[in-house]
Parts: sequence; structure tokens; C-alpha cells
Amino acid sequence: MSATKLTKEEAAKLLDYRRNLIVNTVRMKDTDRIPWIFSDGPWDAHDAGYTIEQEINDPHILLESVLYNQREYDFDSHMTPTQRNPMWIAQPFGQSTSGYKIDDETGMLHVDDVAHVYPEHYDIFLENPTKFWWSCFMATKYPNLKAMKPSDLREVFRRQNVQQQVHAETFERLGNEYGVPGLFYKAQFASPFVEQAFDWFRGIKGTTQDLHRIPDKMEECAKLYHEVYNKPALEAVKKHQLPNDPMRTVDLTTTMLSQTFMNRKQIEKYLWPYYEEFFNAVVEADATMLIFSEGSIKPYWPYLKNIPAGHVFIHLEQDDIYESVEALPNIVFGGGMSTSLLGRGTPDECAARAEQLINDLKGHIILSEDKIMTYPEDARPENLKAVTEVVHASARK
Amino acid sequence: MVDCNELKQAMADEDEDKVIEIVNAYMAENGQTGEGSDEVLAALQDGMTEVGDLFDKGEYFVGDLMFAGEIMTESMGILKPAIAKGAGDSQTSGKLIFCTVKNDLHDIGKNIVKAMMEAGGLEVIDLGVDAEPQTIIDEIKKNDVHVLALSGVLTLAIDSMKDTVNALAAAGIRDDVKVLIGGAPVTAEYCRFTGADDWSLNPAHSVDICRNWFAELSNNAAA
Repeated sequence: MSATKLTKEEAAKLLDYRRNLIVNTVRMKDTDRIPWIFSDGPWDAHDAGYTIEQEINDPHILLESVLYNQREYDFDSHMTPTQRNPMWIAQPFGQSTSGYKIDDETGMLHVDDVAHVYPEHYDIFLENPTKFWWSCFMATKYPNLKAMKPSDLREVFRRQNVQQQVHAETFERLGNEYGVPGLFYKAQFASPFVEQAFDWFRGIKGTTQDLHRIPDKMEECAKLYHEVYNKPALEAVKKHQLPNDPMRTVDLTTTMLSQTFMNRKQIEKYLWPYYEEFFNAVVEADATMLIFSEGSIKPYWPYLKNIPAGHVFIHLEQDDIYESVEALPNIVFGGGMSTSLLGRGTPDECAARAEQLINDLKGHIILSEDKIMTYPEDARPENLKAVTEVVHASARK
Repeated sequence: MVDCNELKQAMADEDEDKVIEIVNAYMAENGQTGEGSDEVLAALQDGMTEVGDLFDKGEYFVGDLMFAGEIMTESMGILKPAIAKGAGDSQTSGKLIFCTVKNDLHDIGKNIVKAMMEAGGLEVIDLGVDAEPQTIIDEIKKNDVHVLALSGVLTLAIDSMKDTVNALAAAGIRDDVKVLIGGAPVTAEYCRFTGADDWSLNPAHSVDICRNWFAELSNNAAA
């Protein structure tokens, strides 16, 4: 089953339908069916006949892969259609030395747990965050940066521009040709400092060491980061200053991963107070929020119980979706379709699972894969198609 | 002689500075002879056991295990000369091979579990990451090992785990080796799929599984 080509009017109508479907689901309002969204990753390149190397080195191939994917499986939206490591931009900076390993023969994709900054750099952050990013983070992550000739730098920025243009084209074409809205396209982004350190610049091991060795310094950095980077985003949400874009379905987005390594005391000191502010801002503005989570988010369950219904959508990775809905009925969860089933099960098994989820959890979930789709084994095309059929057939006539 | 109770408590509290201070004090006093290194090692191991208990109770989490593993490794590095004198080579309760399977390079989880295993008195032959089934088989034969622990984070690792178990069978040693699998994607379903003997997502549980297997092996050998 492939999606048929739509006229401009049909695409606009479908875009409106799908956007309302997702928005109303997050709002926990009645809808005629469950949305079905794709948790994009390099799987789409494999499926469209490309390699990961090709996809991360040419944004046009990423665009083609995403559109191919949409034609084949007719999703209601894509989680991260443009978010792949843009290696072709970073390579002139010396990025290739920073622990990325890609082997298309085996399908292996790996990023080492690398620290791009060190404890002594936190004082520079506290003094001048911009200086920290350029003279500590960028200088370590991109070792060629300082010695680059202006012409090489211009080439980097040219590539960056191309990448951004193709990304904009991706959303434009998904909307105008396929009637598919984005999720957090042009939404605000906020994140606690420690989460960012863990995910992006200090690494799992480094952040863990710092939380044990220099807890006060980490707290100081967390507070400053929140003031400088999160508060403007939250103010924009509160004042409804987001760009009016038909492709956006939520107003604020964040990620959750570092809870998988942190104990309760650390979560209560370094993470939850900031997430709580995010939630408060969203509720105060009667806005919506998408959380892309990795690992289990159970450490947050006690805090998430108090969030009012109709504001938060959490895409799950590891937690059971039935258990999550039961524990947190005010939150809409994404997931339910495991890559173990999609990759190894039969179309009938996948259809049965989707049908069961629709019957049991409609109004509380957005159907999706439980991981960033990465390896060829993460899904069989016929299994994704079987799920799409079940989802579409379930729509109220 | 240093205060081993204080050392145990410092290890359990993950007070890195205090642990290193006590271990250094021991080395300054007894490092040349190695006398009492058994007790120092036991105090560190008991502290690690306490860390595992606190993890089970939910007070510590994965990062705490990782940090405890680092303190343990650091301490062992300092203690090594004393242990090498022969005074501190406490009996291990079993020897196993541990690695991250082929096509997977993640080692944080493996290293946490390895540290817990070593602290629990097991001898771990660490084959690192991206381990080929044939390398694993060669090392099993070379070291006369009967327990194999396979780690992986990628969904891709599941196939490599299955390939490794199949390779053990093809080499005619499957019945001689117990296989434990662990890591983010591992489930009971994948345990059945790979043909492993058991699975775990919890470091302390992994240590218990291996210890039970070693006890079984020891009983079988005695019978």
C-alpha cells in the first residue's frame, strides 16, 4: 500500500485533518482514530535503497528517503525527519575524530561517549556562556576549527545553508504534497543543563563524575543555563510568541535521557525543578509539549502525576505503554509498536498488536515505534504497512 | 593498619577522596610487604556490595554504580603492587568471559557489571567490544571457562548474541558453557530467541546469576 499522489487541495485538506488529529489527541479530545507517527532514523535510508553514509553526507538523500518513506507507509507525521548527524558539514571541522563509527556493511552506527568539555571549563561557562561554547566545546569537538582558512569556513557555512534549506523543503513538501504536519517544527526547545551535558557535551561518564565530584558547580551551571537558554523559550510560550505555522503541532519540546543514570536526589536537584518549570509554563499558556524520551522515564512518574490533562505528549522508548497510561492517565504516550515485533514478527502479528492498542488505549496514545528506527532489522516494510492499514481502517466512518 | 570499617563505609558512600586516602595510607604503611591487603580488598568489596544493595533499594542508580566502579578500579590500581606480593590474592569464586558482542561498541553497561562482578569476587576476562564469536570460542577454550556474559545496547546486538550462541553449538561446546545476556534491548523474548541460558538488566542480578552457575558447576564437579 503506497499513498497516492494528492492534488494541492487534497494535501491541504489532509494536512488540516492530520494536524487536528494530532493536536486533539494531545489535548485528549475525542478523535475519529489514533494518529500513527514514524520515529525517523537511518532505517528510512536503508528502506529507500541508500546507505547511512549517503544519508548523512547528502541532505537531498535524506529528503528523498523521508518522502519515499511517507509514500510507502502513509504516516500521520514524522518525529524527526531532518535530524541526522550532518557529517558532511562537520567533517571539515575535524568532526570525524570525535568518535562516530558507521559501517554500512554491517549496519553499525555508533557514537562514542565522548567528552567535549572538561570540569575546568565550567568556570568559563559561568563567566561567559558564549565563550564556553566557542572556546571550549567547539574547539574540542572540532579540532580543525582554529586553524581553518576563511575559504574552508565559508564552505562549512555554505553546507550549513544547504542543509537548512533542504530541511525546510522537507517540511514544506511533507505538508504541501503529502498532507503531513511536523510535530515540533518551529516549536520552542528547553532542556535542563545536566540533560544537555549528558547528551551533548560532557558525555555519560563525564557528567556522572561531575555530579559526584563537583555537585555545587553543576548546580550553579544548571541555574545559569536555565536563565540564559530556557527562560526565553518559556517566555515565548507563555506570551504566545511562537511563529504561526500550520506545520507545528506542539509548542514546546524537550528530551529525557539522563534520568537513566541519576539517582532520586540528583533528579530532584538537577532535573525535575527545571522540567517542572517547563510544565508550568505550558499549562499556564494552555499550550502543548512533546517530550522525546529515551530509556525508562519511571523515575519521573511521581512528579508527572500532577500534570493536568491535555498538555503533554511523551514518546516512550523503554516503558510499557499500558503501564504508563495506567500510571499517568493525564499524559498522552507515543509508542506501543516495538521494533522487536516490527522487525521479527509477521504482518498479522503487527496488525493484531495495533488493533489491540487501538481498542484498549484510544484517546491516550499516539501509535509509533518504540525506538529511533535505525537498523534494517528494526522493521519489515510489510509490517509497517499492516499497521497503517489497521490504523486507517479504525477511523470512524 | 588502616580502619577497614571506615574504608568499607567510604566505599559504600562513594566518598572517593576518603577511599583513595585510606588506600594510599595502607600502601605507605604496608605496601612493601603486602601484609593485610586481603582485609583492605575485602573492605572495598564489602563496600561495593553495599553499593549494590543501595542500588537494589533504589537509593543509588546506574551513575552511582558507574562511579563506584571507577573508585574501585582506581583503588585496585593503587593496591596492585601489594596484591602482587601474594598477600592479597583472595580466592575468586569463578572465572568468566565478558564482552560486548560483534557489531556493538557500547561498553559503559558492560564495565559497570564487570566492576560489580570483580567486586563480588568473580574473575572477569574482558574481551572488550565488537567481539567476534570465534575470538570468544578461542578464549573459552584457552582459559577453560564455563560462563560467558554477552552485552549489547543496539538491537543489532541481538543477532550477534544469537550468532555467538550458535557458534558455541557449532564448536561443540554449547553444553559446557552457560550464557548470560544483558543490555538495553534484552528481554525474556530475546533470551529465548538467542538461545541464551538467562538474561538480566540489573548488575547485581547478573552477579547473582553467575555466582549460582559457579555454585552449580562446583557441586557438579564435587559429585
